[in-house]
Amino acid sequence: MSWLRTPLLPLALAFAGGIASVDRVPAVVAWAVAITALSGAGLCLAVGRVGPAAVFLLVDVAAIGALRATPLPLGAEHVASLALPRTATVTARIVTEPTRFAAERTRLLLDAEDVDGTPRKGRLQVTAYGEAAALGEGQRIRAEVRLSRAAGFRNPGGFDYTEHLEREGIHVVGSARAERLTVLDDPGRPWHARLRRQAREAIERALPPASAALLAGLLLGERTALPPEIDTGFRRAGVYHLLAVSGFNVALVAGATFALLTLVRLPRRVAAAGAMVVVIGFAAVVGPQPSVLRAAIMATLVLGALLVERDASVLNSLALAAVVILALRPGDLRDPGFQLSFAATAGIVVAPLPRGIIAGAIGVSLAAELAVLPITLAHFNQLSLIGPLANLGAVPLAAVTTIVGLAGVAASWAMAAAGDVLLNATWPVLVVLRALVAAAAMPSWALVHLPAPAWPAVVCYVTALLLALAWWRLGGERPRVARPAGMLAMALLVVSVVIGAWPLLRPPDGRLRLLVLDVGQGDAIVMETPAGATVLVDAGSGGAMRLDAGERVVAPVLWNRGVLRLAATVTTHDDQDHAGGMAAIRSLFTIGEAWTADELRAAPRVVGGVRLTALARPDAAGDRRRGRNDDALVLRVDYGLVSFLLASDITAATEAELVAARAPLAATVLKVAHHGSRGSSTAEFLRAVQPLAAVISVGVRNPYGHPSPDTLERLTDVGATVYRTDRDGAVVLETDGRQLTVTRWANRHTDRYCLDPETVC
Amino acid sequence: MGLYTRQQLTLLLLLVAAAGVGLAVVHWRATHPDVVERLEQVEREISGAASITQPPSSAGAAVGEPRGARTAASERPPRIPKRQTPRPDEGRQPLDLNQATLADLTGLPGVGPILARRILETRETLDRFVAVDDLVRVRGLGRSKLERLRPFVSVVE
Repeated sequence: MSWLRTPLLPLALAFAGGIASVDRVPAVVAWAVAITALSGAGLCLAVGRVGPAAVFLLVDVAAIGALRATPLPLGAEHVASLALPRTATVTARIVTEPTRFAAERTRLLLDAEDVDGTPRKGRLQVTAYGEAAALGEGQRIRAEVRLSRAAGFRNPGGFDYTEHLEREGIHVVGSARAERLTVLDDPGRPWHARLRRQAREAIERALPPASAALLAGLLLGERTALPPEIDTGFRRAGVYHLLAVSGFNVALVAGATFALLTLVRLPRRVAAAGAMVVVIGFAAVVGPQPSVLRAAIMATLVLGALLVERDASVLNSLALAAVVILALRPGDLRDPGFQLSFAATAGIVVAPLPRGIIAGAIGVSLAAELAVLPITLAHFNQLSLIGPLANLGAVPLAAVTTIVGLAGVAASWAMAAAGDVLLNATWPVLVVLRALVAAAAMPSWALVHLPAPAWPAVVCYVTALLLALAWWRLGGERPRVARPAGMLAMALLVVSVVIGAWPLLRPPDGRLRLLVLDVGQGDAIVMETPAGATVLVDAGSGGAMRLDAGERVVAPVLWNRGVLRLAATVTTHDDQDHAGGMAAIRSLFTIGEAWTADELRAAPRVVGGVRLTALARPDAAGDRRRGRNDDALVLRVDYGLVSFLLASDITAATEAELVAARAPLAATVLKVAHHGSRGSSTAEFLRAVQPLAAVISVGVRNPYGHPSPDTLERLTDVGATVYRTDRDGAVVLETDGRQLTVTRWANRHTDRYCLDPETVC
Repeated sequence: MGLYTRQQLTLLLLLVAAAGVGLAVVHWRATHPDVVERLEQVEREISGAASITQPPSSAGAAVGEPRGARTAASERPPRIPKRQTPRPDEGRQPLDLNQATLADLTGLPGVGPILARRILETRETLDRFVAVDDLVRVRGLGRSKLERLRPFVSVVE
């Protein structure tokens, strides 16, 4: 079988395996293995044993992969060795074309040259606020930048932003005012950035904004200007891959150029060489994402095979592309773009595809979907059910648009008017594509969100797919091998589904958990009751110009805990840092009941063995000048001997009223009011609560100076241990009703509190 | 034989066809700006027809925006009003609760000067209305009156 003759495939797998093992294998061991394996291979070859030598070779490649991925010490010259955070004057060169990701917000990737007069190196990601002057790749700039260490939110099952940035070589981030940014010298944009900008301008000139943004996504992979409804639509319909430049675009470019050149009667070899040049140029223009690199390398190899008149093995060139990319950027192995691109391609190449256009198209679509399924689940918690169907319609439309659009862009470089006409020809197709995607995205079952699968589930799934493939391929020739392979594949598939769905199937363990999530400046508290119901109290910030904590932080945490349905949601008050994320939660989850403050105040609720009481709002009518914070809902949670007081954002005035009204305030744990601000948590109030543990939900480097040192002192004065989401990440409180454990998620440190004097713990 | 080969002819024909379609679209767009505008909002048309609650970034997102952000938003160039979910019963534009004046509100059925003033006061305390349902926070405006008012009022994001 020709697809098995792929000498590069084992090498690529060994190399990737080595890179994946880097965190578990110390460098010394890797070195030792590399040297031993090398000498072993040499010895075997010397005595003429080829088989063992090959095994040693693979081990050696794996060890070299691990060594390649081992991070080097950054050195004293690196910006990360500075004392951070600090404000500094930075001279740096812009590495890639700046991204304007919102009004008055531009993201710059910089290579530092000099910080406060001393030479420094290292990569910085800086956000410029305000309208930035014409910035472009290659410019040297000087700016006053507030530098700090890269930090993301740290939540159980949350996205690790710090690791993501480190993969890009970014250890330090910063923010700057656009006005305080000067361009020192401008060598002009490099040719590829200029072509890219001209292409985008031609598209924007020719088409109305929304369609132009979509075409820029299809042709150039540029998604910054994409309206949110198109973005969500493409995600839900499972056709988002069309908005990333990939093998699809590169194959169209290569094929079109080759066809064009042969039509003008150039010899095949010249046409192949010409197409190769165009493909490399296209890859340079659209950028260095792994999917583009992969497709460009594979296209170059296939065209190269034409050039030397040999058959190209697709799987072999896929393996070579993987080795090249991973040798250049080993961190890409964990990049979703890399994984999706290689998995989808491998799936399409390896799968047995039926003949016929329609059956073949369905086969391609299904093969790609099966291959990327564990990846989209692991990174995005998404499983597209309508994807295979939607792709059938969307892919041909996108192909037509891409070919005509690329022709239009090329024409616009030569003659603007001609480009305009061709780009306009894509508009009706774009509208049809948008209508189709919007319709496919509409059913509620189009996209389902599920917990990320644990790694044993992924291993079982991949093995099952490979066995199923073997069963199919060997079916006719060797039924005695094929049948058990097929049975085993089925069994493994069932096992992987059970492991993957375990967070959903798992019976409740009779413990109450409160997760005070790290959502930056804001509040989001997940409550898991002993009987397994989940209640969400506030959902962090959200809204225009902000990170939507509901969608980006709270939802993934809930999905990964196996929560697809919320028994109830509570919004303590309408400030954006508490209620903003709730809109996303409402659209992503089934919600049993949304309790309003008044409903809760009217009667306490019992959910899964836990009593939820809203403390009465004192003096509700009367004073008109009360702020929203004063009216925030104070919630009391009781379970056995353990109690929690969630004080939302109330201020000293409300606290005093609660104390005066003799509200039931005494609690084991206090969620400190208003992010630990000075104007809340008075000494009298804290004496009434007497908390053992105090949790402050507060953002790193927030502009309000929360939590105030006075508040922290008052909390220690009443004997409370303070937990803060800005330092400790999410704070996980767990209790069986008699004892309480509190875990700081950032370092997994756990404290234990015993509340039952009769048991020892 | 002939001037062109078969393949060359095919390619040239496709190119001419694309150019022809392009020219037609250019002309049609110039003469039908309103239809173009509607087609450009095809996502809204489709999801609006099925009244699905999709875009997670709107709805409650604007809740409690600080004042600064709001003025920045209102300084943006005026957008063409988006089509709301189709209303069966009337032809005229519903009243935007966040822009409405005292006189506008008193023009609504069943709203007198006192209730109108209370609506304005509620708008002030809330910063702005996020949904028509926020009207239930107005003292003296219950569910039934809200349902009667619903066809006549709206909240433009």
